[in-house]
Amino acid sequence: MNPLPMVLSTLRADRRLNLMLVILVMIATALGVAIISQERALKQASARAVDKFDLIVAAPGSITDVTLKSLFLRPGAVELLKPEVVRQVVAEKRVAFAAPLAFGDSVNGDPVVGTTRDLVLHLADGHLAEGRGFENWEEAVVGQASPLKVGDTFQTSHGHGPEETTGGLVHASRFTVVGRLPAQGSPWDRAVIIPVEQIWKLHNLPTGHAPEAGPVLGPPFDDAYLTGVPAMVVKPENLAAAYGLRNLFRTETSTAFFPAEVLVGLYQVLGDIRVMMTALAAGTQALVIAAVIACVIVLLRVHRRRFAVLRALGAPRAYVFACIWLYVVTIVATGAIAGLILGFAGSYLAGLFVASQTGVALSPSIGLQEVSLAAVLVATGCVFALVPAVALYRDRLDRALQTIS
Amino acid sequence: MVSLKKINVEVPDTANDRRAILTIEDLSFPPGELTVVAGPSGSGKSTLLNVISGITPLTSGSVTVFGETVTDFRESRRDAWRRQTVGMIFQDFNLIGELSPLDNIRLPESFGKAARPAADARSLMKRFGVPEDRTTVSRMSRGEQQRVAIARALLFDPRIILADEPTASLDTKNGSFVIDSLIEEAAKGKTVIAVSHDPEFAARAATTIHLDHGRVVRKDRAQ
Repeated sequence: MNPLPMVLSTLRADRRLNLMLVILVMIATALGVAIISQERALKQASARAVDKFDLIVAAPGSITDVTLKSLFLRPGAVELLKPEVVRQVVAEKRVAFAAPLAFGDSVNGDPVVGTTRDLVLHLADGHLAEGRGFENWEEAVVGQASPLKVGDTFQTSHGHGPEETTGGLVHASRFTVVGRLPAQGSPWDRAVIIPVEQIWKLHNLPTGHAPEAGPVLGPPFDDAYLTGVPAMVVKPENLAAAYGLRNLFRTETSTAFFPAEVLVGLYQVLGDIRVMMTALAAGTQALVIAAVIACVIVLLRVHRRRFAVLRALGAPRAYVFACIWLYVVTIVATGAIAGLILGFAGSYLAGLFVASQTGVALSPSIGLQEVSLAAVLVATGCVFALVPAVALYRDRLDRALQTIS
Repeated sequence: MVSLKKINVEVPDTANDRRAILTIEDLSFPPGELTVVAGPSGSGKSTLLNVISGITPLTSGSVTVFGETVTDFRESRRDAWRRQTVGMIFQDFNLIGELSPLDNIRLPESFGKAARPAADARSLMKRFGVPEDRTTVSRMSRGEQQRVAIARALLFDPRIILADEPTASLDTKNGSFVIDSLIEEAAKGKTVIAVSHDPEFAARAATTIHLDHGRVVRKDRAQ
């Protein structure tokens, strides 16, 4: 028994309607696939983006706000951590390094981050993609995606973000790019990193070192010349130290947190949204399957005589059953496979959009969950395809032959 | 020999009533002959063909074909028997428009295993003058389509050919071709039964059976 010629001819007989049914299934599948794929990509990308930032110490307040502004480099003001706390953090023995972060300037719209050489080398895992870390106050390191090249010189503009750069104030200091970070998959890929002392100096703040010491770079800082900072990135010596330091700096004057804590909260919200969107997508898929079956039933009533003729020519009932069942399953399976591809494409495009808006590099993929979703849709289609198949299987041949095709 | 004994076919008429649409006491169709069944619309001509092919269930009676009582067959056996023993030709050809002439002719091969091998479909195409260059039968003329339908009916070299108004929608030339082909098949020893209003058909048939209200009212033998 080979029902394929009849399946193909039935698909060709009403090609526009069949194509429409395939597109319906494809869109329903793509919706669910894109939601699942995008959620996973967002989770992976955000986790990757904060991976290098072990512990953050900041002023009391919203840790989500601190994470977004200090780690995801979103423009905006945050309360500063008091100099005495900065001093305490730097003095901690359980700390491998503690790097202050300072913001407020930009280069052609890209954020300028003031920090220490330790953090630059930590972000680069000890090896920059190009060049070296900065060694004096007039040198800078750029992120992987920065348009600045090693050897370029630039001046920073005061302010970061549309609201703060309207004045067009350019700082006098000139910097030379001496190195490029490897890809971080985060907004740091577009960042311009300069010595934190320069940010403080450009904003008329103490530079962390006594004036008579000259342009000293990085720690140890002089306690008398420390200033407040938006946040400090702390690399604890070990896991126990990380938890110890987190507890130590959760006080009335400071807060300490692991960035993953913030992400877990965001993931919960994201998960809730995903559950809601997935439920909507599942509902859409169920409606689409019902619509496909209804269309097929109507269509097969039109073609009732065609299948009756096959029976008259000697085709067994099972042959007609197989033709109808395979015909419906072909529509659903084709739509589901096309939906997987479309869903991935949609997730990829959404990833590009998110990356352009946030700098977080998303890598959407098709995982087991998405394949399972498509498989469940096909399985449901296989079950519901029995309805028209059984209807024609049970059709009375002599009556069906009398119908007008 | 195709024999019909005490045939009665009834259909529901009103809610509690049934109406006889075919009543035949005893009727035989010998091999090697073309028999034309004539009669007004609704006289039971197509039902007679469907009874012989096992398509229409009987209320009572039996159909015996070459010694086998077809009405005793289970449905699956009847399907297989019909596929290989009965060649069906329809007024509107009932071809699958999206398939090529060759695929239409070979379609019954796809229904399942056959006890006898199928004929070479290309030879049948050549014999009936079916053009080979058409991608689908929907692009063929009506005469060409009926040639495809005849070739399809003969794929398993059936012993019985049942044709329901095979010339009704054809012009004279193509109608004559169909009649010639059926007479040629009858000459090979097949039992050929054709429902037709065509006087040329009746004139060339060995026997013409006239039906009215589901009963045989006259039987003419050619001289």
